[in-house]
Amino acid sequence: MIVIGKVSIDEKRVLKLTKKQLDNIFSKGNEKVYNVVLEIWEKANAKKPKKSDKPDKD
Amino acid sequence: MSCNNVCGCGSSAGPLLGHPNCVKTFGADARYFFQRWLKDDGTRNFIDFSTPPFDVAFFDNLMRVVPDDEKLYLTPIVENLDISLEDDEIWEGDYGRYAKRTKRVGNSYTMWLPDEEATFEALCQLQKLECGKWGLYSIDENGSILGDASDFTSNAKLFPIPITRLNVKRQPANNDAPAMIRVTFKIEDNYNECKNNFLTCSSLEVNLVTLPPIHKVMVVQGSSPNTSTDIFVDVNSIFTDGSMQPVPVKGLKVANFKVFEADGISDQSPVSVTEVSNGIYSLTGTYVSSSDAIVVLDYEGHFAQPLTVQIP
Repeated sequence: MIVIGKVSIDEKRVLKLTKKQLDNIFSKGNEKVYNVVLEIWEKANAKKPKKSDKPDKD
Repeated sequence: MSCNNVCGCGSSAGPLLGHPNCVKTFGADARYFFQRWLKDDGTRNFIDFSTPPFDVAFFDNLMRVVPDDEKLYLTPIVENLDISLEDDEIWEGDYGRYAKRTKRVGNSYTMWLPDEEATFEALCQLQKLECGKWGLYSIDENGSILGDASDFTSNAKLFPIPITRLNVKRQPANNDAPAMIRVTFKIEDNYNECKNNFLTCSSLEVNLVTLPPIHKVMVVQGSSPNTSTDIFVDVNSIFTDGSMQPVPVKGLKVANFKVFEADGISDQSPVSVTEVSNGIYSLTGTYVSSSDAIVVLDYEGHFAQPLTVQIP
């Protein structure tokens, strides 16, 4: 859990969101919170290999 | 011979009172767990001591998370406890013969909760014990817990001791004493205390003398309208501070709230929680539009009924 002032964030639940959901929820609110959440999400998703990155079988 | 046989007539055996050194004894009652005698399904309630650890989480689960009909309800430390030993009924004939009947008369208890424990809210809570059939577990000054151990040796179950005639009264403060709540009850007739046994504090991983009772709080819909990404709730104590204003529960975090869809199963718990002002919270997440959601408070030592809110 991350706490920023009066806001507490569940990192595991952030990771379950799509980028669209994340923007929808946080982009209109506290900018600092949005940046932190976005950083968590991007860091986690950067680690995941994209489908296009997989080597072709042939 | 059954433990319920009062005299053991016909048996040649007398009492065998030898014991190992350093036998543990149960001290003076300090407080009680009350528990419904039966679960809603008609089976007897008990505490299952088969799987340690018996720590704060173990008792918190029994006081707060399990269904209401199985919950333990912990009192504060009681004062001026008076236990009247009632004599069993004796039959006496005209020519001087007497016989002890099998009927045992349960002991009578009077206990007091003084001063800040004697609020009107506490009175309302304690009066709930006047309805239905209840039992209790005693907790002594050392933190040991005692109950009906008739199934303890084989199954590690401690059952509540059955009580009856529970009555709660509040005595206003006077020049000599603060306000007090008086609780009286009787151990049920025919209950035989030889079935009792106890676990010492050293067998537990929590000191039951200092374990706080559950604080009842209320979660209500906040004044701001919900959206598909924000649910607004106010969390207040049922106690008042003398200002006729609710006392807010401050400092709750995202881990203290769970949100479910109307089925009560599908997890929609918030991604973040903001304390907008004291006791007023915004639960931010993704909620299903045009539906109900159920907000559950998950906060150790506190209990609130789940709240159903509408998502537009």
